Amino acid sequence: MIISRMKPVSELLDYVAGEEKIFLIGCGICATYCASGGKRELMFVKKVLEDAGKTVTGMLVVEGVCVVGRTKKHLEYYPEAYNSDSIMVFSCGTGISVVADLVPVKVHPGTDTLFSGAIVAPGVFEEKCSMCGKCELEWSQGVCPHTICPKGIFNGPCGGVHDGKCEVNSERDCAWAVMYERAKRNGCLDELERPREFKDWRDNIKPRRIVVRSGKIVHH
Amino acid sequence: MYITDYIEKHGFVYTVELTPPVVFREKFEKKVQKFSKLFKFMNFTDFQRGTVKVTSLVAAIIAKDYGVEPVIQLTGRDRNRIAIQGELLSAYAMGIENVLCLTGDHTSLGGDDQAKYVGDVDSVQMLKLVELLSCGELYGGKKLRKKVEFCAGAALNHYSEPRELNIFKLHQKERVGARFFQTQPVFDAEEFLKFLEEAKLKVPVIAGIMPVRNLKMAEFLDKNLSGVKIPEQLMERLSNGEDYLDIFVEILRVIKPHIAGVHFMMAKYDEVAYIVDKVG
Repeated sequence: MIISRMKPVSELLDYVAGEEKIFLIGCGICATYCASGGKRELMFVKKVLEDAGKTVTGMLVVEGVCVVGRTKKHLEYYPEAYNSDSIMVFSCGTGISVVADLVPVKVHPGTDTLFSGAIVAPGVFEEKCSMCGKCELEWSQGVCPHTICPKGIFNGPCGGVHDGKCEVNSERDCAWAVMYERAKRNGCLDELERPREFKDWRDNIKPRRIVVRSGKIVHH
Repeated sequence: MYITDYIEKHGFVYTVELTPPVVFREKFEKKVQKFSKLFKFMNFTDFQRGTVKVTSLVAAIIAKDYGVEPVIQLTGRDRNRIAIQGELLSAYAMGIENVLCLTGDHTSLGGDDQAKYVGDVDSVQMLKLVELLSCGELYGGKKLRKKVEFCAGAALNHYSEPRELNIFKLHQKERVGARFFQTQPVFDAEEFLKFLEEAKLKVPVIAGIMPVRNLKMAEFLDKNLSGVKIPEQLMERLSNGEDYLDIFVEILRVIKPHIAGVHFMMAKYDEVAYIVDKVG
């Protein structure tokens, strides 16, 4: 799930200063789940904008704004979106960019996109993967060194580990302390003992794009 | 001169860590000149705690004019593998022979917590880059026309826990070519020796000594210096008004037979002169 957070109201109002008519788009999947861009949040923003003297020309929640075809289709039924001064989108950054690609009006981001997260409990999301393009979880015992270690150390831990806790956030376990314990449990400490070479970042050159046809990647 | 060659020849080395200047070169030079009366080897920190200063390398080049053998400190916090290798080649071109390879503090804990943490190279990988250069190679396989050799060291933080994991990392540093260790400040001689006994390191250990002047400073360091723990006993002795320098002379006398050198940190000239004179 892509975790996002609604931007502060003051920032949203700054964006629309000088504008009158604003159309709102939310996302029915991730942004609804993490309460940054579902129907409830759009209603809240509508009231904020109206209290500030703006007109909300309409609202639309797409089940996955990131699905280009679906968002395009939905927008066809909302001509008022095109006739507004701007569209404010409450989804992940991908969804916001999709809308900006589709419409000929100014698009404002309503959220800050934070991370790809696990849902560890209702309303509790944790980052586990940075989507770097080359998975290291095999040798790192399922603990991503890029993500769980703030320093992204491939040969850890750093000197700041204190009672097994991270130097950057003492409430969190040190990624390497967890990795080490798992490697011991799994009987594969040798995987951690071998000094790790440098990361190959070539699959992280942005923007990334792949084309899948009949279950196969045909373009990368 | 390699710091390890000096240790081999003289049995023991005294080094001091100085912070490069921000803008006042002359003041820094005076400090280097003063300390050079006592120290042949000096470390120069690398954007310590993410604060902007003259680079370690430039400070080292300045210090060389005073007959100092610099140990440059290099962190992966602000440089990727290209910049690290470039910095090493630059150091070699300027006749610098000793380098301390560090991962570095996280940017979020330092002077500019909005800056991006680079982290392409950790301390072990940096040691590996030094090793490659010494074989006349850059990362990626490009051959150099000559070998670029350094004496590379690494940091040892005996306060890091779990100890088993800490020692695991130190052995990894040794395996990739660390030729000496410089430690975090020692405040408890017995605990430090216990650590060394357990770690069974093969390369020389240069112990950090930071003369803590009073209780206020001790409490500050205990709270703010990454991973460092100041023992209650030291706090008590300082609050009882004991001479702080004599406390560190005592600590050093206990650990000296077990180490290859001392690395003074955040120390004033008169303090180190007193300690070195007493300990010998």
